Amino acid sequence: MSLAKGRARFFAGKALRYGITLVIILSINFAIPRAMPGDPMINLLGEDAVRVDRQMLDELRAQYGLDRPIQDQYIEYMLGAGRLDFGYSIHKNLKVTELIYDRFFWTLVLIFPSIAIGGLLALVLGAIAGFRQGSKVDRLLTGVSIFMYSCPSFLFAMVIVTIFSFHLGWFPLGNISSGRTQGFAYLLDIGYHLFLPVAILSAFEAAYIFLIVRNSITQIMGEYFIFVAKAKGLSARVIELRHVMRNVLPQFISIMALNFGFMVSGALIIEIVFSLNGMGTLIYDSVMSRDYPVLQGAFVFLTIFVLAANFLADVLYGITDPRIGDSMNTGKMI
Amino acid sequence: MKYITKLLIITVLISCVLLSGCTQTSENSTDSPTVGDNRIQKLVIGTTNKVEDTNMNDYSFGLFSSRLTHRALVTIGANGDIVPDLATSWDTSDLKTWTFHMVGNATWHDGKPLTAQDVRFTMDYQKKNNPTWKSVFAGLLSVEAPDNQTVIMTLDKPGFNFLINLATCRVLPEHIYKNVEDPKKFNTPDAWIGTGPYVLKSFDKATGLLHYEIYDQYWGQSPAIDQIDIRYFANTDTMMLAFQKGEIDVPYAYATGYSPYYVPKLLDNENIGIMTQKNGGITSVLWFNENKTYFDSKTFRQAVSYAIDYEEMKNIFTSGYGSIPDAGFVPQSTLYYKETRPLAYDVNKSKDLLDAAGFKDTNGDGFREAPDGKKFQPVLLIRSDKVEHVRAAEMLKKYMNAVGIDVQLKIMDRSSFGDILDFEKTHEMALARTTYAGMQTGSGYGSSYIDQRIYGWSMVNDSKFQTIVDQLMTTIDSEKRRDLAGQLQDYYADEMPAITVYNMDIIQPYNKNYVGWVYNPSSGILNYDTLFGLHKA
Repeated sequence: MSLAKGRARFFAGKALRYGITLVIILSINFAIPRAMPGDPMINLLGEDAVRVDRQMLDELRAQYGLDRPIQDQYIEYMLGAGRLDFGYSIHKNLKVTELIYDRFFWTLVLIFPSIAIGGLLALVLGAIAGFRQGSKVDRLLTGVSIFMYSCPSFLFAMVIVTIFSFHLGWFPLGNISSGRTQGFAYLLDIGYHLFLPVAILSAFEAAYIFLIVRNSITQIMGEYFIFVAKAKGLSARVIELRHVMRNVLPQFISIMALNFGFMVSGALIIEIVFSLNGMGTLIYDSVMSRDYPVLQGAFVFLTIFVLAANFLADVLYGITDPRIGDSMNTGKMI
Repeated sequence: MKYITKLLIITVLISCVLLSGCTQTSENSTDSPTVGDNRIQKLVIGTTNKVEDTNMNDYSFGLFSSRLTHRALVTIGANGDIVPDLATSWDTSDLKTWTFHMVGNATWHDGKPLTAQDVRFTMDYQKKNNPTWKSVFAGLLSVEAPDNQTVIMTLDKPGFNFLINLATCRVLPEHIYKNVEDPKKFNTPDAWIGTGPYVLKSFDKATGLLHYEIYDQYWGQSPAIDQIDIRYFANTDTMMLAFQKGEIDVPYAYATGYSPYYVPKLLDNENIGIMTQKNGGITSVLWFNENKTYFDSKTFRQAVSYAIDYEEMKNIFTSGYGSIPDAGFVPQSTLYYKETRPLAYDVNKSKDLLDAAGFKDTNGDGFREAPDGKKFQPVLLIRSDKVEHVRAAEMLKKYMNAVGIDVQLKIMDRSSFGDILDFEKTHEMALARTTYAGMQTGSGYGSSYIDQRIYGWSMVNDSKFQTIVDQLMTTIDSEKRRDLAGQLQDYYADEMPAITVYNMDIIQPYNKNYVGWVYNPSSGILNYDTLFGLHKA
């Protein structure tokens, strides 16, 4: 089998797997909101629900197409998902895609630097602790990391806000910007407002990945090939960077890819503490109000995002681990 | 590696210092300049009500519009009376035909004159497009505008509380909305045009910041504040920090106050004042569904009422900012409030009443069986997002267990809870609050919540009750109304279709550097009295 054919077959296989996964997830996305108890129309009316009778509730339901047979709703949803068109939010009266684009943008502005900084910190600090296993630095970093990992994020974020925003006054108490600047000043304003949320998310991200990196390094340092490398007379720096860190990378990439998905929706607490408009609060509000179109749209976007991150991780595996790279070239699935 | 670590630390520190210094000066409104003598240049209001879109159907946007940019024919005054707004006066002889005489010089924000046609259009348009209006004004047969300043509304039957409903209806401009087929998607600046003293100048979607400025062609007296910012916070804790820091002048929430847990910190701040108001709604009510077997027993309901330790509930949930209610259900601030039997904690009396009603522990497991011998495990519904109600329900379970009632708590999300209480009516008992507006609807005195024909959380279908309620709806004479209101409260105290478990006062903090804050039972601290009377201390 030629190299090109093998690679094409590998990618076709992967695409098929991802395609089937996507269809299954889309179907689950459709079913879950409807399986939940509660009526989106009652949430739509809020306190006024008590003033509306059953007939008017049915009329409202018909307006949003929720009176139609479930299979019709499913077909329309799948066709809409194909076009990334999920109609209008029941609760917010806005086009779902516009709502998601808007929120997704701010989520990425929050998440990307957090993951990049957190990942980098974890890699650096994990390496320091892993290569110095049992030292004071290792004990200190591991202790801090476990503390951070086990600390409730709302409590931690509120403590940070109270100290740095309220008492010291170094940072604002929330929002994405002051809403009164333009141009370059606007960008600086956003940076100023996002400093604390990004720092907190980075710290949580770093605390989580730190433990994985540190433990991987500790494990790899005990492997036979490290013993051989030392026996060959290679310097400690060469062993650490060329042999150990390279073997840590696949796990690091894998956990980073997974975290992208989790953090997009998992930044909810930070969004609430800092009053940021992101995907976390959008999904939370939609679940609470049973806003089916928004829930469906948000989950589809998250699905695509997570699958894309995983696909990217698959490709990066091939680069970082030659054994996986070889299998890509020969078309053999691993 | 050490070098890299040092570099990283230095980079982070430099970024931190640069970012904290390069933008945003504090928006400390206590230092904000004032113009004229006592006029306030800008008032910053903090809120957890999030505006998603600037269309009038957005709940939060509608809320702020009704406070600042739009006016109704009548409104609710600071003492709870109906007072003129766009209508200078009104008259009715039979409570069926209502004639309103409107102001003659009012204009919309685009300069066009407000006419009676706009009122007629609004009522018809909203009845067509808004399900709540359709339901509330189902009995409104016609709206006529014989001239530019007169509106005649005709109901299908007399309705004393018609004006209460009308007070929540903001008038829309016909020349704008007549071309709007779907108001839920209408969010351009034209959608914001009203007749109120303020004009919405900008809405920053990313932050939720609303910026209002005074309408310089306003037809009435000019308000005392030039600009108003409404700033969104996703959680109350951060909003209170911003308030203590002086970034906002007043926190605002509809139909509720703030937790007493914030009070000690706020009292330490010399710039902050706190007003407490008697609550026109009820914070926590235990509802019995009288349409369900066992719960239709008056003796059972009375027995439950004696099982509750109201003093303990008041201390735990109101921290002293509340009162022990009467059996007559309605809050003490209600017009024609009548003192009825105080609710009392008496375990022995509760047990005696349960015995008398036939609820006895026949199998010796410590819990009472139903009079027909069946296992008796009444279910109490609570909303999961009402954290204090969940805690209060745990206390109620403790009290009821102590007298042998094996109550089961069922905590439900907002949607499912509303479905059962508002539509299915399959609940046995429920814990829920009432609002001031809700207490006024129908014939008032919370009767809508009780009456099976309206909200019906208690599903009462008793002719004695319904006669009083119907008479209240059609009676104008004050003395007769006082008498009927007293009869209704006596009925509540005797029959106990609902028990006020505790009622907390409204705690409303504000910036003490400004004086003239007025609390309104319907709209809270953000009302026309505040907007027109607030000034620098």
